[in-house]
Amino acid sequence: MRFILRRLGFYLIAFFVALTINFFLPRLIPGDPATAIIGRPGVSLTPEQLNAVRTALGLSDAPLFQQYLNYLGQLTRGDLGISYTRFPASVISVIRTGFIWTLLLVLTSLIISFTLGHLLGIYSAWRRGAFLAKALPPGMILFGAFPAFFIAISAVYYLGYQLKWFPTMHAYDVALTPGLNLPFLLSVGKHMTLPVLVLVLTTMGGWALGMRNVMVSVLGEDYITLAEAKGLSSRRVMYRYAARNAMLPSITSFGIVLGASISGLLLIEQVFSYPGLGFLMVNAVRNSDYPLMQGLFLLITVFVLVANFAVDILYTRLDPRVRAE
Amino acid sequence: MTTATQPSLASKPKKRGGLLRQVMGNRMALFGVGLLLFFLLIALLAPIIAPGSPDKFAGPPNQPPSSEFLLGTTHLGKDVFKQTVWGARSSLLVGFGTAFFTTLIAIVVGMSAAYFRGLTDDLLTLVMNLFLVIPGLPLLIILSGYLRPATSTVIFVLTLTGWAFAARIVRSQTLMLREKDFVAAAKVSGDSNSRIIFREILPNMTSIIVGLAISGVAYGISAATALSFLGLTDISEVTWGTNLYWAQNGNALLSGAWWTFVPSGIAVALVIFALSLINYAMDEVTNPRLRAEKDLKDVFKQQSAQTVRATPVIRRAH
Amino acid sequence: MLSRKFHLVFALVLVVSVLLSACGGSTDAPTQAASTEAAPTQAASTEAAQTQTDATQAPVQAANPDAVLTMGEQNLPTFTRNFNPFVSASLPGTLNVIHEPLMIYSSASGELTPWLATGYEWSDDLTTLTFTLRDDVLWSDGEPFTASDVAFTYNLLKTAPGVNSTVLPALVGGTAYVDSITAVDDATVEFKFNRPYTPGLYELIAQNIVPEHIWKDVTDVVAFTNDNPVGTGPFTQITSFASQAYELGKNPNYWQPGKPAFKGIVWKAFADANAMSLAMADGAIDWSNLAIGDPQRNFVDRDPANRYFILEEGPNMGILAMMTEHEPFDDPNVRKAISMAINRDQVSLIGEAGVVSPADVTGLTEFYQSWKVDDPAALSDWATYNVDKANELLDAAGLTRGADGIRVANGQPMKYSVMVLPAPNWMADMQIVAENLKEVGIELAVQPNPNFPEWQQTQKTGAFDMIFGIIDGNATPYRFYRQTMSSDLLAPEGTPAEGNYTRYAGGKADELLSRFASSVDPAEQKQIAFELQTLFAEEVPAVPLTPLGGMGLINTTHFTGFPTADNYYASAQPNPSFFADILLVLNQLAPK
Repeated sequence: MRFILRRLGFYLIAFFVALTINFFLPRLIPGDPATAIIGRPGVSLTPEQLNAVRTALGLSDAPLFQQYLNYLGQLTRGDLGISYTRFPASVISVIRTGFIWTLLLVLTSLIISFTLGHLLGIYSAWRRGAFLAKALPPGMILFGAFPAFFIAISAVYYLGYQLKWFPTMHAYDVALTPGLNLPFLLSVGKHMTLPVLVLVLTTMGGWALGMRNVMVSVLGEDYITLAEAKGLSSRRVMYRYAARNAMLPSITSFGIVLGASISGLLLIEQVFSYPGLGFLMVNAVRNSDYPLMQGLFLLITVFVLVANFAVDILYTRLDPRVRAE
Repeated sequence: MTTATQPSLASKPKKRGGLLRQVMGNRMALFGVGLLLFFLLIALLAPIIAPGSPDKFAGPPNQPPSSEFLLGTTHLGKDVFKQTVWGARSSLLVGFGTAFFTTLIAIVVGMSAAYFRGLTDDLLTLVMNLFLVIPGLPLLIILSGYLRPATSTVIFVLTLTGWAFAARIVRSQTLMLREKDFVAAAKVSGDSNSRIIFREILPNMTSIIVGLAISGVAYGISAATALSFLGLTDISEVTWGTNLYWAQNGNALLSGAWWTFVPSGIAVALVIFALSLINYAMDEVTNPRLRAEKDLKDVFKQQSAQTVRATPVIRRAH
Repeated sequence: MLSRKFHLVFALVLVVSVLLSACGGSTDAPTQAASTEAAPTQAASTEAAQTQTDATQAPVQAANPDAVLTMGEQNLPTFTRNFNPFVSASLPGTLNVIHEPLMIYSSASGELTPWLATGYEWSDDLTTLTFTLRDDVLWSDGEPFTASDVAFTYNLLKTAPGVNSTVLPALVGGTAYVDSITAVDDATVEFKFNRPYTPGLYELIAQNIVPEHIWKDVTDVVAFTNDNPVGTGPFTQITSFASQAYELGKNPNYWQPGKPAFKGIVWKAFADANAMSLAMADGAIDWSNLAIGDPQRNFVDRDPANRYFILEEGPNMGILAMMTEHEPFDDPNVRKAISMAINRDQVSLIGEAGVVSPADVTGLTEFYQSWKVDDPAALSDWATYNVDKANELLDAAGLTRGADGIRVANGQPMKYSVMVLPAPNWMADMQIVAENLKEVGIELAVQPNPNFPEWQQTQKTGAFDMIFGIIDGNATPYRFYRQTMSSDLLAPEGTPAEGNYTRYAGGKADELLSRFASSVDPAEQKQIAFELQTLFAEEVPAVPLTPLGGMGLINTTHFTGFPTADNYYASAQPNPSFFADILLVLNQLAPK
């Protein structure tokens, strides 16, 4: 319990730090936000137009500390401000459109890559002499070495554009009405295949290599030798004894990997025009939509913090040593 | 972002010469080092291999590879071969620069946290964990959105978001070494803190630090490439990432101009592959159980290795 | 909209289904994927088959009234519902599709087309502009359109805080020239000017009109998202809306009988130009103004029978701005020399991929073709690439080369950092310019800066030696020359100026500009425009580098009636947020 509370305390501090970074970053940039909102190359703006936008946005010249307090107050009401590019839409309403899609991609690809990666890791540790098992680590390293977006673009071009096996963009066929019906769900499944494939391919290697190495260590433990000596089936030894214990470190790193997956997703969503958070973020950055950038950053941070906390709780259940501490 | 393997935490203190010799004895590592040296040479010798400015508008646009343009030209008529060769310079510079700073900060922060314990440790650990838990690329993208793009900005931003992971490993290593007999002996003999840290503990972490630095290079290159690809770095510079950005913006794939896209992508992948191989091999060498595999194979040459489940460890006398 | 609970269930279902599909069953994927991709038109084509059987008997009938025109948007990754014409975040189609202007000026034909107004008249003293309106126009909700709607719209812009529109400078602030707008009767609107300003006609007609009976009850005009807009345009009904696409349906009460000839317009969102290029190349979009690289090969050649593109230049000119208050740029000969050192053919062909023509000494783009002198090169030779002469002029100006080959001005080496917005074409242009200027001993460091406000501010305050700038124009060349040469706009360095960023202080242009603004005679205006061009060519207040242009990509697989090179009745670029030409095209389109 004390462990959980300490972790909770830490995550709260982390959240607060993220909030504060979020507040100060946009105030460091030179230039006028009103110009950022309505300005376009080739359109000269009059002071009247700019003042109009400043009024509309409620931009204030109050002292920084006062602004900071206002910002915290707004956040407690769930108000992340107003998007510049979609003014007057609130940041929350923009983010809401992307959240579900990112969650879908992250969860699906993490589950697949975690499962496949570990199976491969177990296999390659167990049958260390076999050709496939020997080729696996360098193969995985080579695959993981390619930038994810490079693989994504190649996939879009060859599997999507040239061979037309999969759609190359969007989360579902725009002619369909979203709802719980088969054509729509199938369309969603088809549209997410390529992004998920790329994510799995680029993240699986990490799991597999990590698992392989821990497995090799675990296989040297006395209790494995004992289990084998007792004549237990090798399947049972491999999964019940070795793999189970070897997976503990993977679970601790799950939270960090989740954060990394979201990072990888940012680019992949961009390449696939997949309307998730990463896609929104890259476009917010390109269009200098600072409130949207901040809102997304905050949300992704919260998402990762919560996931880490969940992993911590899970860990105390799996590893009695932590509980005892 | 990168799948570069981290060196195992369980490595034992050992002599530097031994490590180098062992790593070089590993085929994977040898290949990795060779590949990395190859790219370093290209970067260093760029003015000799591909003389002239890579920014020069050299010929007609979108020419396929030919004897005049080894890797063809871009949609702007720039020489892809030159751009790839010169791209190695800035990409490797960012990679090594980032590695240098992240490792340096990791050593300072990680070692002081572990060595001084108490409040210092608590505070530094908090900061490390904060940086670990705040998602990296989003922060990176946002920071790049605020700062004016330049090579120094990229290194700064990558260092800021990348040092914590390494610091945590340095800290836990130092914690372990701190309890060792040789450190206790040094303390008893009245050595100063700094002497203990620099003369006793640091040399024993060489393999870890080299491993972290290698991961740092891989991280720096891949993250910088991603940022450049999004157009968030100085796109007037020639790097592998900006080459990809320009290829993408020139509709390279649509026009079938694969030669503008593939060389830089492969170059990034090969460098990271080389770095990961070295790291993986170092891991094998320093992790006694992984290492034992190789010895074992020599011993049981006739016997099928498949039947050997557990890796016997040749335990040293304590 | 999906409920939250549904999302969860749905996510789980998907996870499972993808896991299953990952295990097998990929053999039937190709045909399936292909069929869903074709879905938007499939529904239509069954209909088409039916109507085609009819068509054998009555060939005059339109083939497919249920056809939907597909357009793409590359700047918004996802759509947020907003059809408010007074904010910059309104979705494409809000302006000049749902809502309509009084008249349409098309740069393609160079003509004014009466639209909601049938005509206009200037008073003798040129301070009153009167529009006569159509009397047969209904709003999409069935209410009649009258002069009070028009007066209301312009007055709203004058009074409501925060609204944005291109006509705003005409109505409020220091540049305002309209004092009052009144509805004289149901079909007549009167604009009272505070001074004669005839170019104002082209600015005022562009404003889209909103219904008074809806908007008078809106308390916060800026925050109003106008989810279900009421307009006079051909398509006003939002028939479906999702974050990736929305569809506009026909206006049930459209005032042009029998038009439009098809059911609706779908706008799809794309991540960026690259994603949209693939869709465009694939034929998934009917019409766009996407800047695609090598359009002949990447777009047309994939289906030459149905595809073509038209290159167009807009009114804006990209310039290499030099601060004329700083030495050595105060010397016109130095500016000319720098201009001569630039290979504009290279800028046009490589930097701009041949989309726009090389800039000339008038500074005007081809958009102003009808206003331009016959042979710009006869006015002066500084837009012609000539390294030797450039070197001569620079030598003559006393800018000798240092040991490193870089010229020295005022004791300082001529090394400048040039800020540029990092659009790929402008970056390429500036890299070419940097290469070119190396030849004459001037070193440029191209400095991309994605921070638009900072770039804008740097220009306005004059805090630069050289910068990549953009001069905006509109229907007549008046605005372009005012923005580059007017001494009204001069502001001391450090104070933001509203134009004339290079601080050119000749003063000779002022008289010409005011004569232009107080003339209604096209021939006289053209004569003044010639004089302005001559002056610009003499003085080089700014170095024109490249016109801003674009292309209309047209795929006639589903529709006919688009502008062609032979029948160039409107701009080929669908850009409704800036130009009303799209209305002319939508009413000409017929489904196949």
